[in-house]
Amino acid sequence: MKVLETDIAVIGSGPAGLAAALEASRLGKRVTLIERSDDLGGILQQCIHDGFGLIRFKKQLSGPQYAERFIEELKASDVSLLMDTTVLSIENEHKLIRAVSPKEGVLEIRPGAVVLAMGCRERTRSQVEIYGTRPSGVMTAGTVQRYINLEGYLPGRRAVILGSGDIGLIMARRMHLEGIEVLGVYELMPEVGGLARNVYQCLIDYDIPLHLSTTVKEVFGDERLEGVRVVKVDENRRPIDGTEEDIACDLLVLSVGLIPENELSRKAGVLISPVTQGPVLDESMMTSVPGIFAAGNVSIVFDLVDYVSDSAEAAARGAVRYLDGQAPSAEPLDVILGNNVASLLPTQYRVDYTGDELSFYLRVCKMESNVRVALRQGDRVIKSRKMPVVRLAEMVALTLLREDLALIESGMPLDIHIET
Amino acid sequence: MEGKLICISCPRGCELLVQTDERTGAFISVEGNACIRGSLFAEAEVNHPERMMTSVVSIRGAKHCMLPVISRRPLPKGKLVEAVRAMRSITVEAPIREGDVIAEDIVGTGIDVVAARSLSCRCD
Ligand SMILES: Cc1cc2nc3c(=O)[nH]c(=O)nc-3n(C[C@H](O)[C@H](O)[C@H](O)COP(=O)(O)OP(=O)(O)OC[C@H]3O[C@@H](n4cnc5c(N)ncnc54)[C@H](O)[C@@H]3O)c2cc1C
Ligand code: SF4
Repeated sequence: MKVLETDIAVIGSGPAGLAAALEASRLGKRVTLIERSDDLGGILQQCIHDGFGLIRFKKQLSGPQYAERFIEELKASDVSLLMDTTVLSIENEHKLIRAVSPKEGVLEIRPGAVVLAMGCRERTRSQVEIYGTRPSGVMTAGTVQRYINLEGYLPGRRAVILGSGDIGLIMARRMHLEGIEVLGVYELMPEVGGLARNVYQCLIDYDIPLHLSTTVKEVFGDERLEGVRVVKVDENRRPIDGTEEDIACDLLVLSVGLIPENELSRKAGVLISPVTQGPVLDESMMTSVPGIFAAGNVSIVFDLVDYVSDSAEAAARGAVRYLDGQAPSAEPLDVILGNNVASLLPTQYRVDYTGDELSFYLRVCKMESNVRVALRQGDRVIKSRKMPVVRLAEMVALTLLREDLALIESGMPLDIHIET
Repeated sequence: MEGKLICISCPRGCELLVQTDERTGAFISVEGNACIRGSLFAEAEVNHPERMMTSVVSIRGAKHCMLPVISRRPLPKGKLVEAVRAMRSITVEAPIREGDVIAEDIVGTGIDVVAARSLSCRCD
């Protein structure tokens, strides 16, 4: 069995893994990047639409173009790559990684620190309530994206989309352009899940109808999907009798949300946060297991890939400080979720943190206009930011610089609010 | 005349209220944009709407069978469906570098379509 030693092992080569590996390597560490597939770039390689990288590169790149910028840099760096290699477990705190690849068989990697960058999973049919048969032709938006964009195969002719998240909206347009008839997007909630600009450029541009407060109740068909039954719902999301409608279709596309990929993290003994549904993280993006860090969509489902890359560089810097024996050791202060804050990353902070900056990422519970996002300690404001509007679909970033961090005192928890 | 648009130039998606000429339909003014790109978008959207085209073409000799492509500039919106259709008949050979021109002057727009990623030969 092959045994490899490295300073930092990064698991997953999506935008998070790429950025973490590069940052750690720039800071002089030996880095091993481990990727299960035969391709670098993670999910970005199938997100062929444009709109990535506006913050980082001041340009609207497509997913593959965004990935390419990091891949080029990676190839010129001395990061070691283990492709086609799946991590099976992280053991003995962070000191032993077991992985497997068709070429090498079972591998052992012994890192000084680990960065988790395995991305997220899509919710599937079993996580939403749909009755009826189990025909083929019911699949997630990501699977449809993979079929069309990577494999060049059209998985149906007449499609219904359940869920109005961004991936569903993007796939409505993509399917339409490839000649699949898109009959409509059905959303359980009274508000659309994705960004307004995606409703505009993916649905309105092509006259694809959007039905809010409506859901798919039942599917029909033996081997192959033959149709779905949609129904309107009331304020409590209960089906309204008499509003059922049957639609003939051979493809039901589910775009009902993403959740961090937690299997490895759980096995490694990392605590999972009910707030982010990913690992509980501190200011350095370190999990509850010392030496294991997390970045990108494995930590919280981000909306912009630019933030994914930023979070990964922060995690890499945390891992480097940990290796150099400069990790903060004070008791962590909790960051409390205040008014209209649904989720937050990170949720812990240590006052002896030595990084130069720290970004908090939050999602709101409801849309509000003319607000101030404020991080407070007791009655002191540590940092605030005015926003014309905050929306469910958009994450808010609040970045603290050295001078802001200096205002934080030990002992008292921090809290973060949307103030109107 | 008054109309509503959503700016698609960044994720913020500002709601734009545009005034257009009753007779010609030409752009007059816009409100609601948080930055200059919003007014540029509104004017273009009223006078000559355009969109980036992204799609895939077939590739031989690489580890994947499809290569993602993107137009170098936005295309007139009305040409988009035709342009995506035109991509279906294209097959290229590996190796391809990101930025390589895959199709010149797509559907008579004068705009080139380029590779959105590099793909090496399967054997490399
Ligand atoms: C289907 C889908 C479509 C999306 N579309 C968009 C979009 O259009 N726009 C947008 O901004 N965001 C989109 N997202 C969100 C997108 O995931 C993020 O923007 C970004 O790609 C997340 O980067 P990441 O590096 O955290 O994860 P990913 O890009 O998912 O990368 C994770 C990598 O880890 C590898 N991996 C996982 N487990 C293991 C293991 N055990 N061992 C080794 N390797 C492993 C995977 O193979 C993968 O390469 C989409 C997400 C999904 C799931
Ligand atoms: S007007 Fe400016 S801020 Fe508003 S969506 Fe357009 S580009 Fe973004």
